[in-house]
Amino acid sequence: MATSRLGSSRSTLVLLAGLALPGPQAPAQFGPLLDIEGAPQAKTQEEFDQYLEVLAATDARQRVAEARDFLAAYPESALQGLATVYLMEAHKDLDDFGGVLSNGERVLELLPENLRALLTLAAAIPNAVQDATEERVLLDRAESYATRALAVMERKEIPRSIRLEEWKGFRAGMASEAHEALGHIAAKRGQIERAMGEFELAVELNPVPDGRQLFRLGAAYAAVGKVSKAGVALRRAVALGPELVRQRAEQELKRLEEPAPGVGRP
Amino acid sequence: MIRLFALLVMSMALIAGKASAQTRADPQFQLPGLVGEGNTARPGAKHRLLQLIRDRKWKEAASLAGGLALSGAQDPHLHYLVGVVCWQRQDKVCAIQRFRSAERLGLHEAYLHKALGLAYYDAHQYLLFEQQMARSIAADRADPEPHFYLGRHAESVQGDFAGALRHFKKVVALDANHVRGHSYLAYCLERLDRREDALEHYRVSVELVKQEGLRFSMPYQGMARLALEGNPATAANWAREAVENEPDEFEAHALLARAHDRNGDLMQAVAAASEAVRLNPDHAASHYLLFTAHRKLGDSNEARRHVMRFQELKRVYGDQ
Repeated sequence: MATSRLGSSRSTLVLLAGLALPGPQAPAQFGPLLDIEGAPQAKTQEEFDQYLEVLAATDARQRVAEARDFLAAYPESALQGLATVYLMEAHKDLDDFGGVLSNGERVLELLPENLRALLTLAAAIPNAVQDATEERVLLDRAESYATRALAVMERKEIPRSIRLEEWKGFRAGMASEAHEALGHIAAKRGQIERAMGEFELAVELNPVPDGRQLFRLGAAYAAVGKVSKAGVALRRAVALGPELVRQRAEQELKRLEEPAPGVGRP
Repeated sequence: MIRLFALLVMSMALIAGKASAQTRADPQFQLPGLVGEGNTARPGAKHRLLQLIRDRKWKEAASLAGGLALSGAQDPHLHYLVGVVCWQRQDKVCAIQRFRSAERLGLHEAYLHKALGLAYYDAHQYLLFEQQMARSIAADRADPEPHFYLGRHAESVQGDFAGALRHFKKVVALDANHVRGHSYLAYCLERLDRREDALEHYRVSVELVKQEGLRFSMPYQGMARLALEGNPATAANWAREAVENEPDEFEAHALLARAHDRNGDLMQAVAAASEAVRLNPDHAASHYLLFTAHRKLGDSNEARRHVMRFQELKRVYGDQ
């Protein structure tokens, strides 16, 4: 029987839940700066100078330092929300979950519909959940961020400077991220069928094939015994990479191809 | 005293309010004349950079600019030139930072304030843009361009046609042959329902376009719009001239489609509107015209396709 060759679905769930890889990046300034009329305004040149230092930072640590300096120097700035988005992203680059969570939630206090923050939090929380006592609360929160992101992108009016087809591409990419996060959350909860459905949507929507999503989908197929589909998705993941995904997908393919214990032996 | 000469180094979308070539401006980033090398780490670098920019050798200019040790450089012109190179390479943050360094180091010429103001504008920093334009005006009271940019900001982003009108009046007062100044002045008058005054300035602008052989269809479009209600045949003639002047301008084709539609010539309306949506697939008004025209012509499939696109555009862009 197929499932016997795959190991327990629990091990696949652990695999699905534990793979923390960097996700796709929406344009860094996506958000209010694209809203021509509603763009937050610096009051002085000095304020904008310091904000630009955040954008000009060449690595994540420097960006954290610059963003903190800006936020401390200009606590009333209309650019606080955007500077905090950069701070959140920099913490993400540093794999600092606490920084992502606190700054992501701060962004949402200032910019409640910021898609970058909603998607980053939805993706980061399931990756970071370790404490069983907090798991339920955190996963619920991650789910609410992902569903909010989907709702916001559905009703968002965009400036005419963005072409409709371009926006459709952005939106599909972001919706794909949201469904991937929902799949990850479902996997963490042990809801493998739901996880599979969300990963299918994520892969289908993404305009750019993504190795991590295909790996997750392949692992979910494997967990429910859809061996053939699992093989296809995992082989695509191997082809797309990146390296960590390639290694994990190859391991999973190997497990798929191994005969079940006791099968084929005298 | 620095001798200035103008050089078009880039074409920048000043205003993105109404997606059209008519809402774009081609500001001229001016370059300083050759002055002393100042305190640069590499003697002669500024002269070479200036020459490379003049020759539009952007790759070489970027390579030279990238190798300059700017942190200690006290020559504001060098910072300005590096800012121009950054802009050309689409590195907007770098451009603003270099222009700001030039300003802090004491460069207070009108061209620096215009360049910095336009760079702020591109970053949607309108308060800072307005400050810089005010400084540019203070530095050179005879220059119409800062008034023009302020007018464009007022009409396209703020929707303040009365405010924009004041700026455009200043533009044509400073330069009676300012083609775009007359056109935008007319456009503001049109929006303020001062049709006769609008007509007068569109006419002046048309004459200037002809005299100078410019590709600028806005005044022809304005004449067509003003004729549309009472005389669609005349409107179609003006719209045709607009299309001839700027065949790649979707709004000219859209206007021609409206004129044909008013004349009851549905086939020609469909042809012109189809060209408008080919040039700009997001032009909602042309999709709507194609919907109504195809419906009247009995082509329900095409009508449905265009109304669906129209509804999608309205949903995504709202009433912008």
